[in-house]
Amino acid sequence: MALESRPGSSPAALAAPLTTVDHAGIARLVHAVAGLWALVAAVLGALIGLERLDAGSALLDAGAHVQVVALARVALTFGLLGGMLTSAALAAVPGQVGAVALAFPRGASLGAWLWTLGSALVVWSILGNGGPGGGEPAMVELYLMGLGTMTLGLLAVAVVLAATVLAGRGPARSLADAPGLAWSTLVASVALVATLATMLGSLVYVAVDFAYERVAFGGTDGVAAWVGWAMTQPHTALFALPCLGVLLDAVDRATGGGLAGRGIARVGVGIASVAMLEPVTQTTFVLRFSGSGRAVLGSVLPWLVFSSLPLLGVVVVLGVSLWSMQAARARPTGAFVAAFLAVGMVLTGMLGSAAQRIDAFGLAGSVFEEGALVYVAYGAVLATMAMRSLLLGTDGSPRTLGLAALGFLGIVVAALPLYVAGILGQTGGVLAGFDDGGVVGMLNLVSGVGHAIFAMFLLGVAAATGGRMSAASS
Amino acid sequence: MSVAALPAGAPPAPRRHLLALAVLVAAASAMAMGSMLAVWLTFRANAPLRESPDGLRMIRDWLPADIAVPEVVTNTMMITFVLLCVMVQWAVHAGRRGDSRHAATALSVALLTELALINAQFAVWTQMGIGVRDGAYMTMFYAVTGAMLALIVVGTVLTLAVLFRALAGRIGDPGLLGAHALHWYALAAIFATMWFVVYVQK
Repeated sequence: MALESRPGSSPAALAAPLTTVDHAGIARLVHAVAGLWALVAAVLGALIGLERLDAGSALLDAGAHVQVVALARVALTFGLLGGMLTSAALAAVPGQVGAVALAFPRGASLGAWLWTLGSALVVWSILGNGGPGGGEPAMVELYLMGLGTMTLGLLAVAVVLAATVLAGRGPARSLADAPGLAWSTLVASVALVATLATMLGSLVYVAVDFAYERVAFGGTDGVAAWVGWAMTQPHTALFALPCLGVLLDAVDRATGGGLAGRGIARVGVGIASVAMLEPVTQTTFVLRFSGSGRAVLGSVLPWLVFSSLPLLGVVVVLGVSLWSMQAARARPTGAFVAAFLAVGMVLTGMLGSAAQRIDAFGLAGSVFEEGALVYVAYGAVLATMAMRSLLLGTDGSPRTLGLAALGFLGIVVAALPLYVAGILGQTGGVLAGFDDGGVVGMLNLVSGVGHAIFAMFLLGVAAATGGRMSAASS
Repeated sequence: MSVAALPAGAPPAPRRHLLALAVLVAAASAMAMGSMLAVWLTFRANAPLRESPDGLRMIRDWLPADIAVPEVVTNTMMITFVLLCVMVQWAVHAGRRGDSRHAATALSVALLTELALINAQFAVWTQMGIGVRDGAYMTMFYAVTGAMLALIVVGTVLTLAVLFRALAGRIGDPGLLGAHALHWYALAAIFATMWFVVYVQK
């Protein structure tokens, strides 16, 4: 009996997912890796919460604390945030602008693979005692290379997405017709092109200095000092900016194309992108109430522009969405609820970031910042789930609503205790040696439980997606 | 017998993918070098004070006193960039007229000037004779000039690709030559900024 090759088993067919330039294929790759990053972030978040229950005892090796915190931060920012909404944009934007493909599909594929390779390098380096505060110089260099590769990959994808919306639109499609996600992706991509390139510049300095002299940029500690701004708010908000577009698209679907105030919403998205100014200038503008009246005024204006204006943009989009739903008397769908909650979470994180910059509150250097990061990052995951349900046509399904509720619960339980612990004065970035008196230890444990709930949410989303895909293939 | 024919549709809108790509890449390059120069200026502003060589005033002790920037070479690089901009614009002009011979000539000269720029950068490093480990200035000098060189090398590869198309007579897509020119205009502006901050102001 002659052997017959099964369809799809030839080397070319096996290599197809690896070499695909189809935007949906690239989106699947990015989404899968981002999903892994999200799982890593949730598991690490749960472990960190458990470790912080008692500041005196060490569940994890004390020498690895800095690396655990660093890995969790990379997972939340350049992993999860960098990949989640990017995958949604890669999947949806070409169709939204009437294009059959991305403007530079090979560029997007290159970017996606660079980001994936960089992700592997970062994990490998941190496991090998590299990363910020790492004790193995070669692994610290590998970490810097991995972070640079991830950044370059995200930069390439951002350039391709922006070029697709700007120049790859189908015939008779103007930019004014671009749906919410396409518009917000354009705004976010342009902002990220500026900030990620800025980060690459800093990274070159840190890497060259670390490889040779280690005097100018502070050795391993310099990694966080010089490129740490890219892994905190407000830079993270730029990664999450497309969630505003997801909400607008969800409203559009729920109201049957009755999104009112589309132009106002677009302006809102643009205003929210003002969040790029602080990362680009690599400066933190703190609102101080001490000193002369002129000094106070001098701190109020930059704080209003750099920290409050992006909030206004998000509030405008939320307002337009609610107004449209009310005007159309539309019934909230699962996708709308998920997207609305996601934007609410991102807004809460941005509010926290703005509050952290008010000197009188004394929140700088506390775990309050970690709470804001969790709100923004996990909010982006919720928005991605909403976009997937819109693409798959399951936006009205009760399961989507149930998953959105579980995700929302996980985010609030994971992040809110960190806000409270920050207000109570718990130092951020450390797993031991802080004052765990009162309810601080318990708050950290609750936060860990929240991360575990969010991990369940991620598994639930994966199971739901896998079920739909197998149903579709059969 | 006459056959009724539908009138031809409107010509397709020109595809400006490459121009959009060139603008975005130029913006990214400018931001990367801009951030590096901003850090450079911060370090220079925070350097300790020392007496100037003429002993008349106090200056920032940033560029070590025993190191001289080879100004002939650096100024030549700046002038070469001006020449390069003329060449790439000549290529655009030839491309618009469908003159692949002139486009190929212009791109060939552009390629040569780009190779000259790379050579000049190595000459600067050789003539300065400083080691990357010698101090903060030296580390940052190599980082910032090395990053600029990397951008020039990427541009040179682009020129090579466009030149091959021109040699094959495929200059029908004016967007490619325009994007190529835009890329080099941006690099020229970026280099001019770096030249002023690093080589002129010292």
